[in-house]
Amino acid sequence: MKYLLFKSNDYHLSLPMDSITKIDKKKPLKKNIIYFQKNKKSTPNFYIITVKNKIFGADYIISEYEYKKDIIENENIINIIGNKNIKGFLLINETIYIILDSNYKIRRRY
Amino acid sequence: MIFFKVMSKTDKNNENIKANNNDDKTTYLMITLKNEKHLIKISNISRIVKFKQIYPLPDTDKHILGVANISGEIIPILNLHLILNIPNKDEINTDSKIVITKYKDFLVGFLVDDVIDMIELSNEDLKKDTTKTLENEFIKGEFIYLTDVIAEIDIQKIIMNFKNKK
Repeated sequence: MKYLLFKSNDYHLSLPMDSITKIDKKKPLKKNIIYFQKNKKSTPNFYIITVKNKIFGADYIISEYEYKKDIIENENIINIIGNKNIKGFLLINETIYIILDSNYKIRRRY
Repeated sequence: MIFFKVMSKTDKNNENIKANNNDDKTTYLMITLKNEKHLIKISNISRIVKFKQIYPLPDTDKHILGVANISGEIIPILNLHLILNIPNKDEINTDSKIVITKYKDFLVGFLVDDVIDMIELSNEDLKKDTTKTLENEFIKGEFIYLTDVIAEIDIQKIIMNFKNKK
């Protein structure tokens, strides 16, 4: 399955490519963008990833990646970390990418 | 890189035999958190590894440092300083170690400043320090060992607490 790998702040994130409708590079205009700020002064180099009815913000896009192995979907890990919007993990060249739910229910908004 | 695995099956068998011959002694790992010595029961430990890159996770509790890739396995890493209310170092020290613990099917890593030794103690060796009131729910007890006061960490309780958090 193909994933889009991207970064927001220090977070290595990913979304399934088949859930993405478009990717734009522009300044955010709306307030309903899912972007994981570490503090209010974070200034994203903004990319807008549109997924169904959600919009994700990214600092930069790493690449598209065809992940051929089984994704890591360990319920015990999700139970400990407590964020049910994380669907699992990709392990690519020793780097861990978080798979976000394309229907992510955000707690913080940009 | 793993620098030692705590116990193999054979070691465990030997340990059981030894324990039976030594009045049910318990083996503990002695660690430090900001110069304070703590004990973790070795039966709760899967392995100890050198510091590995920890990938932070969005929208999680401040006690969760992130996840680390430990020999191809993704393991959540918790901030033991914060859980035990011990003042944290300003930055993560790359000389730190990660103690991987196991309880039921949960593998959880804890970042510790250093691993000192493994010690075998009987209940008689550990004299409970009754002069102090325990200030943290995850400390099982504080003991006087030689000249030090050492706190035993209740790893199972920590894991169950995070598992049940919503």
